Amino acid sequence: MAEMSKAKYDHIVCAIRGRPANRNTVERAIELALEHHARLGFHLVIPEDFLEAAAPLMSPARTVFERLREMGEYILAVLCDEAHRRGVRHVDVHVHIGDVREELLEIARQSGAQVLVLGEPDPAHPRSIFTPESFREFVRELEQAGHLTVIAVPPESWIALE
Amino acid sequence: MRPAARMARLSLIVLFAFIAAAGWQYAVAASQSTPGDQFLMGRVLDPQDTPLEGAAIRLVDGQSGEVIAEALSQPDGRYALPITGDLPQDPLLMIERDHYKIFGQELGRDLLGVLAQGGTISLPSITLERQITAAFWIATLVFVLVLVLIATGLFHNTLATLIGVTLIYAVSYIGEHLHEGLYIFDFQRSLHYIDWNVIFLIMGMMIVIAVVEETGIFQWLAFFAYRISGGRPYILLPILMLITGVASAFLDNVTTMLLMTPITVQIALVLGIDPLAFILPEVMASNVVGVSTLIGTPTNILIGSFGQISFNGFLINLTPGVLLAFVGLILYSAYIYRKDLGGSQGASELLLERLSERSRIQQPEDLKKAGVVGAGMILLFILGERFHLLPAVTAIMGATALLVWIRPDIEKMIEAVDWTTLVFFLALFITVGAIQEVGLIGMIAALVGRVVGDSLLLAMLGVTWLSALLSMVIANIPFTAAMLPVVGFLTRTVPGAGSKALYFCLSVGSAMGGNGSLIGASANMVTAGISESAGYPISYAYFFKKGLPALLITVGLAFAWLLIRFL
Repeated sequence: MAEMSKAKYDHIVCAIRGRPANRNTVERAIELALEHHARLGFHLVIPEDFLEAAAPLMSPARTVFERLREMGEYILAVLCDEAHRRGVRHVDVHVHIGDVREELLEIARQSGAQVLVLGEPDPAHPRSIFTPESFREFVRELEQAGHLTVIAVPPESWIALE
Repeated sequence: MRPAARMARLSLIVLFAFIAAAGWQYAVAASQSTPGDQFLMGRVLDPQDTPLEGAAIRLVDGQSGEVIAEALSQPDGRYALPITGDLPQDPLLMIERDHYKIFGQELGRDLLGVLAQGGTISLPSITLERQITAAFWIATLVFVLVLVLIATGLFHNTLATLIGVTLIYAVSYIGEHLHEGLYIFDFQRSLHYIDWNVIFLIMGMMIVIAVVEETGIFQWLAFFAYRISGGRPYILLPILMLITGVASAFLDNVTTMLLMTPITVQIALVLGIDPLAFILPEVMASNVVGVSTLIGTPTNILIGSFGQISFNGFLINLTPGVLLAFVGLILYSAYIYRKDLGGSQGASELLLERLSERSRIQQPEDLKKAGVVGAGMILLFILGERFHLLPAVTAIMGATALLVWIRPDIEKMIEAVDWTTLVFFLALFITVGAIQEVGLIGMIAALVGRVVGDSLLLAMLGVTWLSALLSMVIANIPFTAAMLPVVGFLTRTVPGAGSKALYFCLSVGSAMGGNGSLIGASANMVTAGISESAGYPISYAYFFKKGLPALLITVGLAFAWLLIRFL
C-alpha cells in the first residue's frame, strides 16, 4: 500500500463511489496524474446489492441498470471536466455495476495501470462492506491481482450530509 | 447466467407449479359434488363469524359410530349433507376441522321427523371453538422469522418467504407423523390463501411498466420540470414532487424512484445543490401520493382485492386526504431544505447541455401507443366496476394490447416481468395463510375488537396510527397482508365500519408510515442505494430526522380527511 512517489507512472486509475463522499480520493488521483503527467482513468463502482431491497419490484432490472449507468456516466463527466480543467490531458471514464470487490479486482486486473487510487472505507459507515483489517487484506489482493500499487486515501469521513 | 436471471427462472418455475396445482385443486373440488333429494343443511363459522371452509361434517349413528352421510363445508361455510335411506334412532352431527375443537350435537326428534318425511332441514349456524396446538406456536414463530429475515436483509425477501413456506410444509408433512398437533395445513389447503387477483394485477402492470419505462418519459418529464421552473429550486421542488407523486399513483413506488432518482441527481448537479434536497421529498411524495389509487402501491392492491374496493373506491375516498397530505409535505420539504434550495450556485451550461441530450423521448411512437392504451386502462379501471371487471383483468388486457400493438421483443417483455416478486407474493400469502389457519390472526382480531369496542373513531385511530408506526420497522407488505383479516373482522363488527373506512385507514397508515424510517419502505432503501452510489449517502439517522415529522404531518392530515369522510 506504500506510496512510491519516486517511481514514474504513466497510467493511474481512480476507483470511486460518486461524489462528494470521495472528494479526497479524486483530489489525490488528479494531483498524482498531474505530478506524473499520467493518463487518468476514473472508474465509478455502483454496487447492485441495494437492488435486493427493491423486492417487490415491478420494474425490469435491465432498465434500472441503464438509468444507473447514465447517472454514473454523468457524474464521471463532471469529474472528467474537472480533471481537464486542472490540466490532466488524458482522462477516461468507466461505470461498473455489480459486486464492489469483484469490480475492483477486475479494474486492477484489466486497466493496465501502475497505480490504483481508492478511498479507505469509513468504519463509521453503517453499510460499509470492509472492516479496517479486511480492507488491508483486500488491498494486498488488489496489488497482487493487478501488479500495481494501491494508494488508499483516508476518508473525508462518512458524512450524513446534516 | 446472472444470479438475478437464475432467481427469475426459478421463480417462474415455482409460479407455474402453483398455478397448475391450483387448477388441479379446483377440478378435484368440482368433481366432489353429490346429488341428493334430502339434505341437512347449515353453516359453519369461526369465532369471528367468518365462514369456515373445509370443515368435515358427518352424520353418524350415535350408537355404532357408523358414518351415515358426510360433506365438506364450502368457502361460504355452507354445507349440505345428503340423506339417503333410513336414519338411526339417535343420529349425531359431528363437525371436525383442524385447529378447532370437535363439535358434536344430537339431532332432536322433531328434526328427525322432518327428515323422515322427505323434507330438508336448515340448521342454525354453528360456531366452532379454536384449539391452540403446537402448530399455532410454530406458524407464529415462522411468520416472525420471515419478518426478521426481511428486516435484517439476511436473505432476499422472496427467499425469506420461501424459507417460511418450506418450514410450514416441512412441519405439516413431516412433523405430523411425530405429533398430531404439529400439523398446520397441507399443500391444497395452503393454495386457498393465494389471492390470484393480486398476482395477475401485478403481472399485467409489470408488462405495462416495462413498455412505458423504455420510452424515456421520466427523464423527459424531469428535464421538462427543470425547464418550466427556469432552474429555480423552490419552484422545481414541488414540480418534481408532483411528477413523482403522480407517477407513483400509477406505477409502484419502487419503480418510480428507480427512474426518478438518477435523473434528479443529475439535475441537482446542474444546479450545484445537494441532490438530497430533491430526492428525499420525492421519495416521501411517492410514499404519500401512491396511496390514492388501487394500483399505486402493492399494499393497496392487497387491500383492494381483500376488501373488494374498486379503483374508484380508492380515488373517491382517499384522493382529497392525499392531496391535503401532499400540500403539507411540500411546505414541510421546502422548509427543511430552505438553505439548500436557496444556495443554488446557478446552472452549469455545460452540464445542462449534456443533460438535455439525455432527456429526449427515446421511442415517441411507442410512447403515443402506450399513452392510448394507458388511458384506456384507466378508463376501464374506473368504469370496470359497473360490469364487474376485475382490475387484474384490465391489467392483463392492457398488457396484451400493448404487446400486440407495439410488438416488442416478446422474450424481452417476458423477462421484464419480475417473477421473483410474484413468487414473493405467492409465498407471502401462504405464510400469512398459516397464521390465519392456526388462529393467530383471529386471536389478534378478537383482542383488537375488545379494545376498540363499538367505537369507529377508536378503530380508525388504532388502525391508522398503529399501522403507520409499525410500518416504520416492519416490512409493510407482510404487515398489511396479516392485518387484512383483522381489519375485515372489525369492518363486520364495529358499527359504521361497513363503509370500509378501516381499509382506507390501513392503506394510509401502511404506506405513509414508510416515511418514518429508511427501512420503512422499499422505495426508501432503493433511493438511498442510488443516492449513495452517486456519493450522497443517506444515513438511518438522517432519514429518521427528516422522515418522522413528515410521517406525523402527512398521516395526521390524511387521517383528518378520513375522519371528515367517515365519521
